[in-house]
Amino acid sequence: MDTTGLYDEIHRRLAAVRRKQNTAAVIHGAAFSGALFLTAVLLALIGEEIINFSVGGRTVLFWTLVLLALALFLWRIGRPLGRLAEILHGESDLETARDVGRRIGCVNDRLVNALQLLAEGDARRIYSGDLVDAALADLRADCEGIDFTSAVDRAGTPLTGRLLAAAFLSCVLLFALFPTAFFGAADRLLHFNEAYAAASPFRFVVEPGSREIIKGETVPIRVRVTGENPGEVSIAFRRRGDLAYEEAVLRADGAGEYHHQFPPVTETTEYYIHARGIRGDDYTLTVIDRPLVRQLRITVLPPAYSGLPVRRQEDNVGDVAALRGAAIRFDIEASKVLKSGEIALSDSAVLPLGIAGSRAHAAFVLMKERSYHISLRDSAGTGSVDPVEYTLRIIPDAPPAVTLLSPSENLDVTDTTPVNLLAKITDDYGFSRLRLAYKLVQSKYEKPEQEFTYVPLPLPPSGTIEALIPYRWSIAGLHLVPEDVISFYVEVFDNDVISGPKSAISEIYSLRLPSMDEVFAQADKGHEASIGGMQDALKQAQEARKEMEELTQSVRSPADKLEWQDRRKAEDLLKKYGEVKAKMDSVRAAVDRMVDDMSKNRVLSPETLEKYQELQHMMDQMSSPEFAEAMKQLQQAMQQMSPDALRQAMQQFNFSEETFRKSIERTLNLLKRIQIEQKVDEAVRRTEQMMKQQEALKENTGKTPAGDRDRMEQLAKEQKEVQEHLQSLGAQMEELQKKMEDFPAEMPLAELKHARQEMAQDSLARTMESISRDMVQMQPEEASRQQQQALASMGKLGEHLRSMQKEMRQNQQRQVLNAMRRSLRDLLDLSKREETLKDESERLEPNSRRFRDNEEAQMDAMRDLGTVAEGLAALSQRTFGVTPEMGKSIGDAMRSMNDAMRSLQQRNRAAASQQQTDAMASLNEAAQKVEDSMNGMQQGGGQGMGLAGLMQRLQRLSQQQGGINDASRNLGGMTPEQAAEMSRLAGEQGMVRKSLEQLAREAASAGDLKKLMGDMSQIARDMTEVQTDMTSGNFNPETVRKEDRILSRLLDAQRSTRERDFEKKRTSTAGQDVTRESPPSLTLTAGQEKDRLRRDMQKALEEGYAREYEDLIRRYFEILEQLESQNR
Amino acid sequence: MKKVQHLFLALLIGTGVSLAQSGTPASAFAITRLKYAGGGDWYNDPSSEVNLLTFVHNATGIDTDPRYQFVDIGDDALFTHPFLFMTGHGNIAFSETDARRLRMYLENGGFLYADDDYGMDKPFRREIRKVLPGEELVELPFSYGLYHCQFEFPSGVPKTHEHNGKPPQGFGIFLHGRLVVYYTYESNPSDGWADPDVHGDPEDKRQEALRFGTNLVVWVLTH
Repeated sequence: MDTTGLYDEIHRRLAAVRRKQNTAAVIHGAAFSGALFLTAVLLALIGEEIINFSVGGRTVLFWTLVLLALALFLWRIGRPLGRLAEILHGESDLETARDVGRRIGCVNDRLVNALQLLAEGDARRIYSGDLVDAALADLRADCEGIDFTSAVDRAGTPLTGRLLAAAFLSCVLLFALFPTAFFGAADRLLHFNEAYAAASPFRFVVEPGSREIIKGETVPIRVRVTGENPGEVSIAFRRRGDLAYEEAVLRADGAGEYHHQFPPVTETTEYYIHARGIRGDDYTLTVIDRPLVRQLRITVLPPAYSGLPVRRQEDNVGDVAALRGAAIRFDIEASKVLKSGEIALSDSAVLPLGIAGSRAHAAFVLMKERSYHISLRDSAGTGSVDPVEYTLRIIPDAPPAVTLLSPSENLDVTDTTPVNLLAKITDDYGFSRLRLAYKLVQSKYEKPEQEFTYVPLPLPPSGTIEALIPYRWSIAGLHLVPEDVISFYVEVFDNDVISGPKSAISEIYSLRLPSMDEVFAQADKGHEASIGGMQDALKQAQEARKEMEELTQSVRSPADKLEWQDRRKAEDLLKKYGEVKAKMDSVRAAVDRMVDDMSKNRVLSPETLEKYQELQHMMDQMSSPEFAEAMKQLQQAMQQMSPDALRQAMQQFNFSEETFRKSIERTLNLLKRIQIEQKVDEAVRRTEQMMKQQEALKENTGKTPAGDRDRMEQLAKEQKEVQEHLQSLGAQMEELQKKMEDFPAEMPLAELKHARQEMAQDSLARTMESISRDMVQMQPEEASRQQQQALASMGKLGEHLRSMQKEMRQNQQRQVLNAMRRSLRDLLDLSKREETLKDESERLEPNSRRFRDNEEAQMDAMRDLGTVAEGLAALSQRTFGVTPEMGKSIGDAMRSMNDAMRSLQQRNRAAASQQQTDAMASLNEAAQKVEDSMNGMQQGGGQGMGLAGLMQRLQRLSQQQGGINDASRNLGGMTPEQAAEMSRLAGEQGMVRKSLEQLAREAASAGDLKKLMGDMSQIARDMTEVQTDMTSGNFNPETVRKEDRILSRLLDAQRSTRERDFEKKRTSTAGQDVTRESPPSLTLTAGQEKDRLRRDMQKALEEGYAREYEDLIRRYFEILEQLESQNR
Repeated sequence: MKKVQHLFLALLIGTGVSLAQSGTPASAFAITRLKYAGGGDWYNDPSSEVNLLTFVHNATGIDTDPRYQFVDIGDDALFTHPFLFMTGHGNIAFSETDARRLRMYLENGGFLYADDDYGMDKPFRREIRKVLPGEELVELPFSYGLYHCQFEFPSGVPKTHEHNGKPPQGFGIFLHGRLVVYYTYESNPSDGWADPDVHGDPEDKRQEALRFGTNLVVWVLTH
């Protein structure tokens, strides 16, 4: 290497040393400057904080710091940096080499020397070139492995670095610990030329200062004060974004702390504390928005069976009360977008929510009572806190209720008459099933049943919560035998399909089929009581009659004064008649009951039943308004204490009383006769029943397997019963005979005796005894044979009895008809005689002696009429065919005859003639009524006109009218033939009209059948008009309508009578008050109102009240409903 | 001239008679018998309305016109009668036109009282269905105001006359909450309104029926 190369190498290596030196100097200088500057700043801040420099002080301080920073930078950083950048002159190679030599021992001065050799261009001239080269070569050799840069001193750098770090840390620490103070001081220093107030004499330590809170959280603020007592401390706060602060004075406690509580904070809030104008640090409460339920909407879908509508609860009402089985749907809207959510139930069950953005939903079926809360988690995973706990409550579905309104007691029934049940059922939501349960609990022949048999009953329409259920229970299928007892009730099930239908049963009643003996015994008892009652009443009436005669005697003369004793007697008399009347009323009630029972048990023939009904009607008429009026007048006369008034009232009363008393007599006699007919019916019925039993026994005997001893013994027992019935029949026939003997002329005594003899001769009782014995001895063939024999004997007996019954009726009818025919003839004779007398009277001269003859003849006629009247009165004791209307006509005739006699005495020819004419008219009227009644009896086959007769004749008329209607419509145009035919039909129509009028008259004379037919006068008018239209050839649509109306009315009248015929009270009578339960509240008109009340009640019940309150609520709404009903 | 004078006099006398006969003011309340077709005796017991209206006047002071009057359904005057009454024993037939007119009458403030005098039940129910299709006869509860508005009837309609021994029932049809048809079955109050000798009902029954009729009139006039 040449010298130049060596020099370059040294220079390069020294330049590297210098670069390193400068770099180290920059780093060191920076660290040093930083540490020094930070220290100075800290000192300045501390000084400012403590001293609180003035503007001038702070200006000096500031610029000092600036100058310091500048100086330090220039000196300690800029200079080495300039050298490094070779902007400034740094060390020369020699100086560097000197440093290197100084620091690297082996180098020493050699490097400097070498440089000097190299630098001095003339060295070679001075020194040997070789020597120079050798020296340089040595140097190079020695220094080749030495790193000159290692000579750079870095010893001070770590220290200054540590100083810098210490200064920096001190700075940070002080700022962190006293941010207000240091930042304040820094602020003031930076704004050195601004004036600042004096430093605070106290300081606030605020907790929690700034922090994050949950939205809605309440934040308590606690302030501790250091330094002087600040006096009143306030807090200023505002929502972020607001300009103005709100103020509140803090509350001081005993420990020198101040408190404030922020209400639920929903938005980020800034605040600071201040006192005496000194403001503390600013703090911020930053609100973190947790997810929460913004809107909860619950929909309740009640179980279908309840029929309740879907109900949406008010928003954010989370408590649910619903029927078991209701579906509950939750629709939730959260405050923010959700990630997940759930409904946590109190029994640890969790129901995840379906999420859609900020909405969530879920649904489940309410089956038990629990509580729940809703948990939400937002998309950031932040969960809701402190959820509200809601309750799920089950509204109880009350059990149904059923009441049997009819029957409402144990009852006796007939074997075929259906039992009319009326059950009232109620429930809160409806019904699913209703049934009738029954079982045989007592029987002579069967073992009591263990289990009930059920019959489904019809249910009201779905949705009905209260209904009256009528049911016609046909018990014929139960094949009851007398003395069987059936226990029964009605059971209702509600429609709760969720918990299973609940049921309730009605009261348990029993029905019993009484034996025929019981029915007849009851009838006998009724008869005896009625007859006894009537006899008592009659006796009382007769006694009262005597007293009345005495009283009449005492007030007979106009001169007689009315004494208080007379008044007393009159009062007693009225009282007695009142008692008689009351007794007859009770007899009437007894007869009603008796007839009702017998009719129900079908032990009466239709003819006898009809007679009983006539009797009932007659008894109704006994308490006539006239008699009541007479009693009233007598009472008034007594109060007036006027002899004249009393006398007059007595006369009136006398007449009415006689009618009343005679009515009792007549009723009594008729009842006795009817009782005999009933007894005959009874004998016939007993025989038929016995035969039926015997036939069944015979059949069963034939069917019984050989050797079945138990069965045979059972049959023997039943045979014994038939035998007992036979004995009862014998006794009953004996009794019947005794009763018939009271009316020997009317009753078929011979027939009855004959029947009894045959019964004895056939030794039916012995045969039955023998049958029983054969059965016990297991001889069924012999028993069967004898049973056949017994049946034949019974059949014969039955024939006799029926024949006797028929003969009795025919006999009675014949006798009655004969008697009436005689009366009719007599009346007609009398009418003719009256006519003759009238003619004679008209011819009489004023001074004629024949006035007296005529008068005597009139008297004879009147006497004869009296005889006829007596005959009819006697006949009226035996038949209903003699009506009061006949009596009235005869009475009118008698009155006219009497008047005529008086006129003849007075020689008043004209008056006598007129009165005789009147008498004749009344006699004809009476005769007409008798004839009508006879026609009715003959056509109806009964004692009077009777329903049967009325029916038949109405039917005939309807048929005739139908024929006329058809024929008249089939006639087209009006050819001469058709006109002739129309004329014939008109004639026929006229005949129908006459027949109808005749029928109406007869019905009127037969008493209240008139009412049964209705008013026929309009129909008769229609018929006349139809007839006129036909005759005049004016047959038009209106005529057709009239024809239809006529036919319709005739058919209706027929139907009415037929319908009544099935009823026990066929007659038209005043109504008897009936007690029954009110129909249910209106649902049609008040439906909406009721629904509203029901909804309100439901809502109230869902509020979750205690059971007893729920009952009160129900009651309250029931009362409201009642009031609503009343208001409508 | 003399003829003219005679004619004038005749007219004057006729008018005078007519005025004398119509002494009751036109505003007086009247009950009108409904004349119907079908054959039933719509005309029976003509004394019923007369007695009832007299009783109503005496009991309440309501100005009544106690006359028997009737109207045919087809008559234009139908709509001038506020209270129609129908009764009878037999068939009833409303033609389509009749039914339509009667419906219009009832919908426009009219009232119909029907009293089954026996045998009218089936035809009435059938025909009233033609008049008001879809409307049902509902039995009125005992608490209904008609039974309490003037006289007390705690058990509802009274049993004036025996028919089939069933309990008496009062049914109604309502239009827009107003009772437009009232029907009594197994009760027959109008028999009790008739003259005493027509049916021979006891006086207490008659009085009861008249009191009930008064309630009916009062109810119709006030509702």
